[in-house]
Amino acid sequence: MFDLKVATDKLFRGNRDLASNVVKILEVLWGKVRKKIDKVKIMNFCGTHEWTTTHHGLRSLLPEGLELVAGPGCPVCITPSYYVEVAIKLALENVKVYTYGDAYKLPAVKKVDGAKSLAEAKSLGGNVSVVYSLLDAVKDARESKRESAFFAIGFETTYPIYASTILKNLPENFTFIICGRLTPPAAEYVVKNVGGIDGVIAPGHVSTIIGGKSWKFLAENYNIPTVVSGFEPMDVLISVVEILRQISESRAEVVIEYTRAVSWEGNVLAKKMILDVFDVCDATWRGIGLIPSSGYRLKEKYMNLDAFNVYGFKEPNSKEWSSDLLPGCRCGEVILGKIKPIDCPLFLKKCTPSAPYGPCMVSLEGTCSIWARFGRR
Amino acid sequence: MCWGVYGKVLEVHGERAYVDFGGVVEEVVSVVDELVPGDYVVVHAGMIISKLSEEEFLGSFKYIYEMAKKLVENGELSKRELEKMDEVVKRWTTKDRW
Ligand code: SF4
Repeated sequence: MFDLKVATDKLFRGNRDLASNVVKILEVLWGKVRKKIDKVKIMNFCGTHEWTTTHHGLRSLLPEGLELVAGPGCPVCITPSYYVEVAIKLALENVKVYTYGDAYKLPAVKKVDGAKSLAEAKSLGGNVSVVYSLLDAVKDARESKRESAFFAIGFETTYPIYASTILKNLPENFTFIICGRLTPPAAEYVVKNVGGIDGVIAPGHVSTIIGGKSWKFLAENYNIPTVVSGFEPMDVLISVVEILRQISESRAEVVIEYTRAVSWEGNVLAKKMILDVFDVCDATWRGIGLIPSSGYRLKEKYMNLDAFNVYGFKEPNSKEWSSDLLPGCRCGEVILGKIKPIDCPLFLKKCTPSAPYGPCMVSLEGTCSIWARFGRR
Repeated sequence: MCWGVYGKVLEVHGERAYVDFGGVVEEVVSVVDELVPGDYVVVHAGMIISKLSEEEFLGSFKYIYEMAKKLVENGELSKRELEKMDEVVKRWTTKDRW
């Protein structure tokens, strides 16, 4: 019987013959590219692509001079410390704070009443609950009737569920710590301010929502070949092939490799839901700073669901914002593809997956955490 | 957080659906149109974000196969590579062998 899951595993993950074919093709194209330029740097924007690349050792298959670097596509890594501090404060004031497991150990830059993370807040008696999905949190809050705040981190992939739940009826005791971020403005920030990027592997699951067309600006305004890629090793290799092909032909366009899940328009229903509930605003990214039009904010009519509004916190404005990394942590450079985790002196010394010092060591999608778990492959 | 898991839809109840993840069944929210039991979907943080398209499944594979053919025609890739890929094509385009 046809089974898409099994088929994906067999064709895109476990097929050695096919992988070696693709690598041969890649080498031929690399030969053509090398006649024009010596080095090519491709940024895989998304943390899950970095996971695929490192876990499956794809870098070891690439010719010298062809570099794959990670980008800022890990929502846990880029959530500013300030939001973590607010979440800790609420938890210690006995507001029940729900969080995805990913953000549970995310360290803030300063201690709030003795706790530097939600995990530490919990061990100090704070009210923290780790959930798999928003639905579990809503259900629990409805039953417990306690004041609750959901630590709503995430990109465009995660925001439709917040929007759709807000559009339904929520229990009155439920609020959100909104710190959602939009990915195209961050990609634009990187190519504009860091430079040196010859191709972009655009995030596949974000693009199921926002559509392939959201990446057009990279090709049209910055002349950067861009491929919306799936997450199996074969997907990533094919995406690299397409980028090399475009470079060898001196062209730049957006191509969707992940056609089995992503369309040009994206998920129209989900996009509409998001816009019904949220406005887009300027927002800070941890380790980077302010990026224009890169955040979500609840619309005025939903302010009763905004934990900042309900509990009287103010977001720091761009003047008040100062880099929120701990001394020595080089996450800001890691997520911009400027350095590799191994270039940070704290990597696997003071900073490890079991005791993360910086934000990129926390989530399974954080670049430092991935390199620490799977080595440099 | 960008992690997506593939699953198969078992039941649809309005905006809720039950999805089978290889034996584990979970209730999830759906934000996709025209969802029916039997659909394969991508689930992210408790929500169906996209349906997987059966027609498009071989899309990128076909792309790389066509490219291999062109490179062989131009003499840039050995015929042997294409023969190996022909095998894969034969195996993978016959649905009942999946
Ligand atoms: S190894 Fe740790 S301290 Fe260094 S950049 Fe990565 S997360 Fe920051």
